[in-house]
Amino acid sequence: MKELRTCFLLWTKRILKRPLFLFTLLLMPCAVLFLQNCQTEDDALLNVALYTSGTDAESEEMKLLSQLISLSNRSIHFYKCDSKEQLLQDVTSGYANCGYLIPEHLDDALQKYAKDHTPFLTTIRPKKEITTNIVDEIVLSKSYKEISYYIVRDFLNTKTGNTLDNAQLQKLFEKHSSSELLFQFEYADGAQNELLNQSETNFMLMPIRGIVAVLVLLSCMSGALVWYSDQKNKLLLLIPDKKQQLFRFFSLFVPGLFAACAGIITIFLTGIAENPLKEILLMTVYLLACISLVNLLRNCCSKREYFLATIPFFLLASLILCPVFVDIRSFSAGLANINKLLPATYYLYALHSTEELLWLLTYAILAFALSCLVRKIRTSRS
Amino acid sequence: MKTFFQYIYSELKRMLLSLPGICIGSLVILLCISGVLFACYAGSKNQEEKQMISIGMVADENEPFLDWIVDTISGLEKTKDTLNIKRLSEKEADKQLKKGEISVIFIIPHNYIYSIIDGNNAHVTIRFAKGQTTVVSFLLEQLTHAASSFILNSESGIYSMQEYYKIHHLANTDKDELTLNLQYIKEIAKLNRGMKTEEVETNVSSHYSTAALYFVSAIILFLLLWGLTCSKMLTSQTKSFQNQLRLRGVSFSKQLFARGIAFFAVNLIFFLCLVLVAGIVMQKDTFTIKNTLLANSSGLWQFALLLLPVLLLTTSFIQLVYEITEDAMGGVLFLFFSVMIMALCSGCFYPFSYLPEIIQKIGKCMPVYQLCQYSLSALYRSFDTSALLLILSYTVCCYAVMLLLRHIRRTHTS
Repeated sequence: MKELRTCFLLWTKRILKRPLFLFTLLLMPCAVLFLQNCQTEDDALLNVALYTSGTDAESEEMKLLSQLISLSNRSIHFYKCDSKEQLLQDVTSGYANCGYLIPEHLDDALQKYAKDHTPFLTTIRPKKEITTNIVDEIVLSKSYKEISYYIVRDFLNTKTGNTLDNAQLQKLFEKHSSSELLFQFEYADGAQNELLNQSETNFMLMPIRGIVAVLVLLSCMSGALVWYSDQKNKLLLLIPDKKQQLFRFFSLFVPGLFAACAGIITIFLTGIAENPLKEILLMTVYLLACISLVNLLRNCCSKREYFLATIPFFLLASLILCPVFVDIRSFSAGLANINKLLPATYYLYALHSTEELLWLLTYAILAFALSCLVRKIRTSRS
Repeated sequence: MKTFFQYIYSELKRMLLSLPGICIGSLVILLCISGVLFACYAGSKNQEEKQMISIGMVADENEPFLDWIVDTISGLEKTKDTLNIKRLSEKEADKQLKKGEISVIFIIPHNYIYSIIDGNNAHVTIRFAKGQTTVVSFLLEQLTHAASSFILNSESGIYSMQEYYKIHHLANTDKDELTLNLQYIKEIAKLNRGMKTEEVETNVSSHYSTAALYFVSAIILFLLLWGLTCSKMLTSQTKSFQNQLRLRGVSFSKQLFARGIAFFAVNLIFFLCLVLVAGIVMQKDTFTIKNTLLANSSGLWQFALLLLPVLLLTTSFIQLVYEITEDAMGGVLFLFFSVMIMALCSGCFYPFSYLPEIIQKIGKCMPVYQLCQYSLSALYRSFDTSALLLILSYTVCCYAVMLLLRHIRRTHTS
């Protein structure tokens, strides 16, 4: 126990004497705070320009405009243009992803549409633009209440021989109107997806958890670099081999621990954190998996140069193949099998799956066993 | 001057000693990854369904109208080539969701259609995979609001009709209700007729294909992150050695410059090896990007030549990072983190237009953004002179900062 404490303290002091290492870890939460506060009300995934030539505040076109603008959130931002030319310019320049021209006398246009399906809205979008198709449905859904009314009105006019009591029908229609959301969201483990209910969630912070995971792996790898230097400088020559094992372990554990602590704080600052105990448990198991993997790489690579060569590939592979930014399974099932070699995959999936947490633990144990085997083979050969 | 060239030569020799190990290791891993990617790419070519988004629908076997609704949605112009809806049991759907064979599950509750008809409006559950919430999830959430609006406003129309018939004692309520229901369903399915689309030309940057954007981002990130292997090459020399060199006529600026030349030469050798490997892979496989220099394998070397300014800035930046940190551990972490932040703000991971305005303004000033712009213009056979000038300016700035750091440290120690 005393040896463990001494070793841990020694390595901690070594880390604390590297201010740039700590500074970089501190940069993580600072960067998150900056990204959180840099988003204004007007920033969103998609910018949608709107224009109408109508001026009457009580008209249907102005009501539709106000409704759409009030819908703005982090996903889609609707804004009003002063002229058609400005709308065209915004779409052409790329400032707006698409634009909608709402006609004057929209009410008449909607009635005409209900009768003979004459288009009532014009959308301006770049060529081959498909992501904004989703906005069409949202804009149409806001006009749909009036269309629905005109459909039932025309239907009843036909059935009653044009003796329809319009005022009464309008009253009945308003009475039955509702605006609840008919869908709820959950993850595979049954947990509610609260993030989608929060309109202010910053999508830019979504990959932070993945980046933190990669940073923890990198910290363990940088600890291994120090070990290679120590070996070359014969720093631990006088220490018995069994006690050297402790140093080997702590050379990976201590930098990883610092990175993991900074990572946990960062995740909580982003607002995407789950239950605190769950986060700490996940990070602990992930740290053990990273230590096992890096230890295996260190035992396989006799030279520091070979180990250095593995660093960018493991990092890039983790960023691309693990679900940090996108789930690679959507593109290729084959690539999805490769990402099982990386601990970050299990860490990110284990967030909403106990099974994946067990797989992460299994990964840590297997990697550790393999690294012991490789070390034994090397030792017996030398 | 002779000492200066001797110093360049000795630095080059020292760095080249480390290069074979790094090169061999890198190339072995690169070949393994290329081989696996090639196998996966060849395999996925045969799977046309993979191009579509697969959605699982879980519902009772005898849920009325559901098969018809699924067929209608699948047959829509906007969705027939992009959406694949499968009716599955919950167990099978969860299994496929876990494997990634479907993106999301729609769980239709028992007697859903009747709940809509009689106004109880049971909720449909959308179940995501166990990964994180993504940008796509947010956009899907917006769509559900639209879908709710279509359903609820259609219900208003039908309930109004029912009540009007009741008040006015009109005949054929059931028959007319069914007719109106069908009319509403047809209206919703073809609501896009209400929209006329005008397409416009936009500025040049959005003419770049997504594949080209991500390909270029991957190259830039790889060149920068390869600096993680260079800690040994760029380890700071001792202060006494630096002073000795200065006394022999190799000033600090010349020392930095000499180191930079040697490091650039070493990176160039590695870069040429990579281009050679890429050329072999391109000849074996049909990986190309249309309308670019990489439309065929012969354009690869031309593209590689045009990327030399990119290599210059990336090597300068890596040298700067290790000059700042003076330490392998700190250098590796600082390099990774700085590259990640620059890449995030420069649109390497998310489309640039998605980023907040202030980030877009900052991103445009970042070296990674200019590197991507220049590389894209080179790939598409145009020449972004302003990006090239900025790249060269950034290179000069890197050296200026390195010089300033050395001066400050020298002043501090003396």
